[in-house]
Amino acid sequence: MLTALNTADHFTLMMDHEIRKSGLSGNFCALVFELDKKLDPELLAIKEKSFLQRFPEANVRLKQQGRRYFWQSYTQGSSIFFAHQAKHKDSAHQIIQSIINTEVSTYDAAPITFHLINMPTGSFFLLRWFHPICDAKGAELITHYFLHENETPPQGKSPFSQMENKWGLWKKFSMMYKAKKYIGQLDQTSSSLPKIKKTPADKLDFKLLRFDADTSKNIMRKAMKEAGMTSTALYFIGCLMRALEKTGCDEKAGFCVPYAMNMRKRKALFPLFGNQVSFLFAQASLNDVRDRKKLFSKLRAQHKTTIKSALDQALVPLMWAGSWLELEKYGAIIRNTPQGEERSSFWFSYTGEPDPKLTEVAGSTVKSMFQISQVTAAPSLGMLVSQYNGEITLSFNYIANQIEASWLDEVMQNIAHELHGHDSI
Amino acid sequence: MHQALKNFIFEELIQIDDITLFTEQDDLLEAGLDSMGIMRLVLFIEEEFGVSLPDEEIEPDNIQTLKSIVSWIERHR
Repeated sequence: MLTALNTADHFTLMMDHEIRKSGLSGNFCALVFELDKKLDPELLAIKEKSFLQRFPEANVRLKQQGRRYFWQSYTQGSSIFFAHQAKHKDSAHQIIQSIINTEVSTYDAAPITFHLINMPTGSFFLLRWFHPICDAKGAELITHYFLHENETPPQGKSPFSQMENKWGLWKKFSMMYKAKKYIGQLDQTSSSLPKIKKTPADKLDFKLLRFDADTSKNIMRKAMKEAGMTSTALYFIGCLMRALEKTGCDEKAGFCVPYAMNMRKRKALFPLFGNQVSFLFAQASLNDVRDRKKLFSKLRAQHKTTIKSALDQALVPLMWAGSWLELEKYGAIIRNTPQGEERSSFWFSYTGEPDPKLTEVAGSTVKSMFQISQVTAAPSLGMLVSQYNGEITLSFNYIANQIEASWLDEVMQNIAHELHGHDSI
Repeated sequence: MHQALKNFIFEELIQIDDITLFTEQDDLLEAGLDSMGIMRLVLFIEEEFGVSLPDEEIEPDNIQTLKSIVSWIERHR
């Protein structure tokens, strides 16, 4: 049985191509839960069979037919659950790093795998997924249903496909024209990049910055005050722009940051599979970035205008058109300005609290959660923001041999200052 | 007005099992209304009811419940 990738899935497949071209393992992401106890792997291994029976859509491999891509049922037996041992947290970090950097071809990659990393006390439980199969919210749902065998998700249609199906061909073309004009305007301002060493990319690594519940509450209060209730994600984007500018980066005329918009209704327990995301851009000139008040005022206004003019939706027909191109050409158009420069200053994701909330894994309490995502080189840096029990974690995902660890430490120090509402040092 | 708001919120923004059980006093933020949802809701209100809602008034007191949203709209009519 073949299931076609949707437009958003195709987009992530193109990014897989770009990530591999950069020298990295592919468009793999991970949801990582830190647990308070070590676990008997058998408690999780026994869930694997039930999960694959209930969700055969998880047991697939990618197949190409011409320029179209499909998920094909995978009839050969293979495990999707793996248990690991780590002596301490540092070696657990290395195991997580090796999981996200595992080299496997696009057509051989199991799109969903679960991993348990046991330490002498405590453990990590993670889902590694291949982005074309689902988005981060889908990954949360997949994890929930893997752990709760007695639950079945409600039936419902893909909001992304429902939205796309509303538009006839002429409507799509007029939206594409609008989107192209929008991107053309963005490209008038060249994008600053992190300080990247000129060496071929090797492996992705990650560093975490965690805030306790009280500090997180203060940060969210500041976000609502400065970026507004309608655009709290932009607070994090703006603070990172400022932190990069203060630390010193490959400075150009401004910063341009793509951020995703999930079409799902909040609290919806479906669909699990299929990406339901479009994207927007946050852009600011260096002058805007250097003036904190001006920056957030600009980002707020920009966000409102973008949604009001339906530019968020306008990018979807562009993605649809792109899905008919060869991945190489599609990738070049999406990543580069007409001047041949990288459009994105850094990658960004904000998912908030997991939905539904995962409080325990096989009897072990969840202490915290964070995410990991491969990136392209450039920009060689991504920041993924998640929350668990009101505690914010920033996951900095970077190409280890291209981004100096000490530089990134300084960026992290500066963003912490900015999030608190202080200027960077 | 209540019903139009309720229909928009639960058809477009938040998944709920039984819309009839959600009252005008129930907390929309607790129910799942997030920042993107708030943006879409404000734009819907401005278009649907022909009002202009100042950005600086987009705060919990004005959008937490259906009742508070209606009061907010009425103040600007």
